[in-house]
Amino acid sequence: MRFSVKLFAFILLGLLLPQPLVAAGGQPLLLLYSNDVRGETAPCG
Amino acid sequence: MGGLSKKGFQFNEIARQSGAPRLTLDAGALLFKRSTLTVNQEEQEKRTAAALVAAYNQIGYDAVCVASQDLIAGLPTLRDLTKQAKFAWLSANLVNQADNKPLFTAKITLKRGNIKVGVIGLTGPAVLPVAEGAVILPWNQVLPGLVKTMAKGHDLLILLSNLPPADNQRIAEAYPDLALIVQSGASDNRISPEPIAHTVIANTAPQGKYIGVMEISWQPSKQWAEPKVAALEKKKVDLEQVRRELSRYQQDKDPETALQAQPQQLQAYHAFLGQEQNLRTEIDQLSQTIGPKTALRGEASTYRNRFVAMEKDLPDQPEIVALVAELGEDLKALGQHQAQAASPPPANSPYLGYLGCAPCHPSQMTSWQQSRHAKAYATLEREKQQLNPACLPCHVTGVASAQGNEALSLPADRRGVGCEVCHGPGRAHQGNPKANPMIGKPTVDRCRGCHQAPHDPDFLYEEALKKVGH
Repeated sequence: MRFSVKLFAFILLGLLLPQPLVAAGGQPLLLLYSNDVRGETAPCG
Repeated sequence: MGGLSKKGFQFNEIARQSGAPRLTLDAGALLFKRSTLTVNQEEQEKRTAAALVAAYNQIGYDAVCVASQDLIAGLPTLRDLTKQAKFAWLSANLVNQADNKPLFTAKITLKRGNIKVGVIGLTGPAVLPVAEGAVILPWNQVLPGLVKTMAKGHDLLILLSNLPPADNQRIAEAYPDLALIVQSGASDNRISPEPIAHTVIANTAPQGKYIGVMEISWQPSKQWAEPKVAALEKKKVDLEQVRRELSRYQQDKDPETALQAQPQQLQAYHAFLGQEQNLRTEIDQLSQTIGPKTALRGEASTYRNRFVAMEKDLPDQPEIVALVAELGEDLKALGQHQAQAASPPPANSPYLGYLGCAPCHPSQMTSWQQSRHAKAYATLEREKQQLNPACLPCHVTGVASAQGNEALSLPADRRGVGCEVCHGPGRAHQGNPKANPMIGKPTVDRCRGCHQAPHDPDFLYEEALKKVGH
């Protein structure tokens, strides 16, 4: 098989394979969260 | 609501210091404080809820879960409030009964840095009957399909859940693709996030007293490190560091000989030797307790979690301070209007007011006047809440919480926690003391009617009686 065909097949295979959605290495994410800000029953607001 | 301005400032400050892409979520039970609303309380609560939404817009929340508690003012009210929000209101299981289509957004996709995050919301069991035509579906009717659809297309899946903690645990065990569950309605205050199977369940303390801050390092494996595995990896890194330090001493000669003339250096060398030994022992012990490793497609993801208390001396976000002040003025005007419209208590009310008790009980009156009970109404005035029907029932005499409006028109000697709050209505007793004796020592349940969380979570009945006894 000609080299150019092999190269084309290699590139096509790389494109068709599932790409990792996240780049290699840990991706940082800062999650700020809360809950029940007013959810409890209380006699006074 | 004073904590909101501090929350806003802290979120921005923490995000600024971190530099990492930020995701801001709330697991719900945001809007309303009580399980039922009287007509008098409804308008105040709606205005407060609208201010909360505006504050959350300022803070920059990405999504909030629709909790069953958020439906207390009715579905139309909630839908009006959500229209004002710049963030998503999530519920995959609060649906139109006719076609089972969600009445709010079931899920959203957010891109944070290189991470494609999917967030799903689940509403908990109804507190009140849901509006006609709407129903809260069981989670197992909606979640399986959603998780299956979203797992492949997202790097990180998060569930905002208003379900009971036991349900969240079942979900964590059943759906390894859900990396994180942030829950509302859990009774535990500020416990560390709990790993259950492949999922971490987190919540912070209620009433906005703390915010949760989770610094995540998310890997392509989409799986968390087991806590022991994470600890083991950390100790291995520490051991490598200690060995690098030791190698500096061991380069040419035997350090014991070379450092004899340098006692401090020799001491430091011995300290490193001790650390190496300790770490090796700890690594051996940890390795024996760790089960068969889960097959990971690469490195495990990790997180570091902390809770930040909304202390009174923290800085405020000015825009939210202005919002809260505006709400305060609005509620005050509303309260004044309601007070003018309120009917005075009936002439034959069973309650006398403390001036009716004073002639026969002068020493008790003197004792009471020095107590905090006597100043309870003044406390509200100091906080500018004396026209708030939600607060009044525990700061005046002889008004049940359902009759908050009557409290706006009480005479002066029923403003405060007077004699009759503890000892019962006094009019019949005044007419015939022997035939109508008053309650002597109030029961603990009587006291706990007002002395409860969030305003008095540490109430101790016997200790408190000593302070007010006479």
